[in-house]
Amino acid sequence: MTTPAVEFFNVTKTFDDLVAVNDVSLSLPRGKTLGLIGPNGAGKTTLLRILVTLARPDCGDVRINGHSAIRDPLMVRQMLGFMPAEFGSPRNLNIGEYLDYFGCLHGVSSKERPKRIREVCELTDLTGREQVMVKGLSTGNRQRLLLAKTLLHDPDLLVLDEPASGLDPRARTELREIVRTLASMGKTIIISSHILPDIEDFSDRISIMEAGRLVIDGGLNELRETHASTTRVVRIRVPEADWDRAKKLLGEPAEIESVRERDHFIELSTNAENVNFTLGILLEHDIRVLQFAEDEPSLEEIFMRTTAGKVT
Amino acid sequence: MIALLGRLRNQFRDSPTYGRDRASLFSGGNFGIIGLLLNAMVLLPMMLLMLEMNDREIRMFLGALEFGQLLSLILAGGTAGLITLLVPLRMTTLFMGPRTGRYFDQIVLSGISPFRFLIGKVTSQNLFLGICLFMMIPYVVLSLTVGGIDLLTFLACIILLWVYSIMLSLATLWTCLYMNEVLAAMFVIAGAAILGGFGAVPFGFNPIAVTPFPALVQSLYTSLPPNFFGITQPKGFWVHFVSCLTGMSLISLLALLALWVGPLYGIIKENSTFGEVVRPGDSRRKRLFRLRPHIQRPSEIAFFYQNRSDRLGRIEGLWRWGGSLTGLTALLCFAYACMSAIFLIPLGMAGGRGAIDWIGGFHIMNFVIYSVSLILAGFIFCHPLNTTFLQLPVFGRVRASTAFLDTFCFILFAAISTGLLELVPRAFDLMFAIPTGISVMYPGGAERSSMSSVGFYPVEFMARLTPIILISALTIYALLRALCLQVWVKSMATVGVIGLYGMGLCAGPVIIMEAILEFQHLQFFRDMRPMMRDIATASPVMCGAVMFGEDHRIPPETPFGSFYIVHTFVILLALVSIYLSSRKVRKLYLADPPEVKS
Ligand SMILES: Nc1ncnc2c1ncn2[C@@H]1O[C@H](COP(=O)(O)OP(=O)(O)OP(=O)(O)O)[C@@H](O)[C@H]1O
Ligand SMILES: [Mg+2]
Repeated sequence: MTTPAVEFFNVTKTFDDLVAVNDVSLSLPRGKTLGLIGPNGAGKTTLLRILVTLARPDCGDVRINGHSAIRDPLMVRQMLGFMPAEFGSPRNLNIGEYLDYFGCLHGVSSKERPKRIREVCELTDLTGREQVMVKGLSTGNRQRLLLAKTLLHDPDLLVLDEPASGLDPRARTELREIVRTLASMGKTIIISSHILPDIEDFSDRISIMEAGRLVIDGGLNELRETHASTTRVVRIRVPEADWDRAKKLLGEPAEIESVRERDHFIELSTNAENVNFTLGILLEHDIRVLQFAEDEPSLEEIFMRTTAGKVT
Repeated sequence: MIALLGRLRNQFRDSPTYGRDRASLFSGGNFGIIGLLLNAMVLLPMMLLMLEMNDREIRMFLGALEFGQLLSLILAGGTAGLITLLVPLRMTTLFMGPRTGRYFDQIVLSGISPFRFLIGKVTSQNLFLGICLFMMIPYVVLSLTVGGIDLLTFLACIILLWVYSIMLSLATLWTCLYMNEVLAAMFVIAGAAILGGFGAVPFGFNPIAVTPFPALVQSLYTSLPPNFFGITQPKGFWVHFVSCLTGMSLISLLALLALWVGPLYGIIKENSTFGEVVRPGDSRRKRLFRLRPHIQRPSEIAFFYQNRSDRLGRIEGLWRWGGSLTGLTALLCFAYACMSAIFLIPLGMAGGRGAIDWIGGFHIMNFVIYSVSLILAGFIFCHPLNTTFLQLPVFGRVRASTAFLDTFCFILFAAISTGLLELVPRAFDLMFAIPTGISVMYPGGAERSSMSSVGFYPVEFMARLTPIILISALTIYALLRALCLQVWVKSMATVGVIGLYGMGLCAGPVIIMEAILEFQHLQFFRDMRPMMRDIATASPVMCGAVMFGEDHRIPPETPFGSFYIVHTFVILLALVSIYLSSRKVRKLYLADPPEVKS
């Protein structure tokens, strides 16, 4: 059996009285992508900083390819690339110099560096922008640059802390592409984000944290199945004229958990066995059903359901 | 060896910090500031001289110099001054240095070795010096044309300035390992200014050659008329050049070694996190003007030592403590050698007769060297609380804690230096003094009366003074160790000990004695009169003064019982404090994260 790329063993970290990470155990096989989600202050950043040797847990251990991040941080540092949530940058550098600086820090030899820089620029769509000063970069390009920097020494494990925060939809799509490319290159990726559709898109595994605890951990399909077995999301379109009536009717029975409006659909969650019952109500009252669809729960639903909105 | 040199060269050539510094230095604003400061440094002395033109001495002084010479002197002095000021500030990134700010953890995370990072900072000083020199070209051309200085001397001065800037930057980084940035910059600037000031004093040959100033001012003193205000004619420029170069290179090498080795606390993994929280309660403590007492790191640079290679760590205890002990002992022997050499001069005069007046000085010097060496050893063999209970590999499988190594080495050194204290005068006697018909040991008898001013009887005298010094040193050491278990900055503990011991035990009893004598009209002090002797002699300073006959209010035969009682008590107190706080510190620092079965 090969050692997993990343293992957390009962990691706990407190800041004075605040338990930021509470007894988290987790393991991720090589070449997989893990999406880490959780409300603000859930302890995601703290957990990632422990993983990348920037913080020391109060107890527990973290291993990367079998090397403890606590006992052998130097070794671990060579193996990972960490993209922090905030961009602190040296002044007076342009993109080329910035990458050269970090390449040099990471010990990429002066002969190899131009080639490496060209490669990561290509990967992150920065080619041709080497002369642009780092200071005035837009958020999108800044995130790209940060990612490019993270890839310079070609680490096997990528730890990305909220790479998509502040990005517009197009930039997000591009970032998603990049992450997919990286995953296809066989890299192990841990990515924390608030943008659930993105996470859903490229993650093999999902972990949800709340108030320092890991509340859910598993493969995306597994999660869907466990949650789908009990709950169904049903989307119904009815003519404008019947809209209010239909909503009122659907709100009444106790079997239907919730009713929302979304994009000209009435959306409701209910138990799997009640799906037909729902359709029955509408037909009974002579409401024409234009469209009726039964969805698997999205990650967002799973997330909303499992986190109680507790904020530390 | 060649491979090692090659590796070293590579470290200089391909250093990230170098490129980073270059980028931050080469900006219009920085050029402007450097130019402005440089002009100020050069023009200020000129203006001062001009304002004082009416002063007779200054006129004479100026009359003795050529204009070109004066100009070149002011140029070199101005540049050296600017370097003294700006290099430490740049190194500590307080001014005109690249601030690392929020991306600092990114740098450390790259796994870069501390040495490689720091070397780049040092190399970038060349650029800075280059800019300074570049900006001075007009002045230099003027000075060379007017003819104050020849080209060779000029080049030699530039070399000195270059070595000086390297030395300053290395020394600043070295200091940064043990102090916070602001303090380190202040310490180095003040130190360089003081040493530079001493360096400019017109001795014939200036022994304080750790700055370029002795060589820079040499031409000035040479061209003064003979007997100008009693200034000694200096030795030639090249003598000064070589001595300055040697002095500065030695310091640079020492600093380089220290940077390579790194501070002991740098290898503690549990201190090496960047999160503001290392110990419970840390996050409540605020960062105060770049002072971060809560993260147990004097300066940012120290963080790099978590990336130090493991090779040094395998016999960490052996080379660290062994090196210190050897170095200290060598220094002690060197001091004794110098002392003997100095005393050989009067011994040579008039068949040893001239030496009589020097014998007191010989013994005093002996005791001074002894005391200083003990205090120095106490300071070196002492570590603050974050390292005290660190277990270090000493040799092979043998491991020992810092506390044990410190205590062991201090006691060993105390034994060595006490041995030398007794041995040196006797050996000197046998080898040099007795052959010339004189003895420094004074078995008693006739000669004693001729030493009335010092009034001592060396053999018994040594037997009385040695324990006083030794016990004082032990007390100071115990106090230092006790205080070091309360704070994690050794300099803070040192200041505390100076306060406690200096004020409490050295000065305190003397002050009480003065008060008793002064306020005899008060009943309280009259009552204390009979105890006055005992109170006063609790102070080692008073004991010394009494023995040397400096204080006639107390007869020289007074027994020093109270000294021993008070000091024993203080040592016991310190030991209790060490015992109590070491339990707490051990719990705090030896608590490893619990092992987890996997
Ligand atoms: N250095 C620190 N000192 C004190 N408290 C801290 C520190 N770092 C984090 N915390 C606290 O720990 C908790 C978890 O923070 P963390 O940044 O890990 O959350 P997060 O899940 O990344 O949140 P976000 O989604 O907002 O980024 C927060 O309540 C935060 O205030
Ligand atoms: Mg975060």
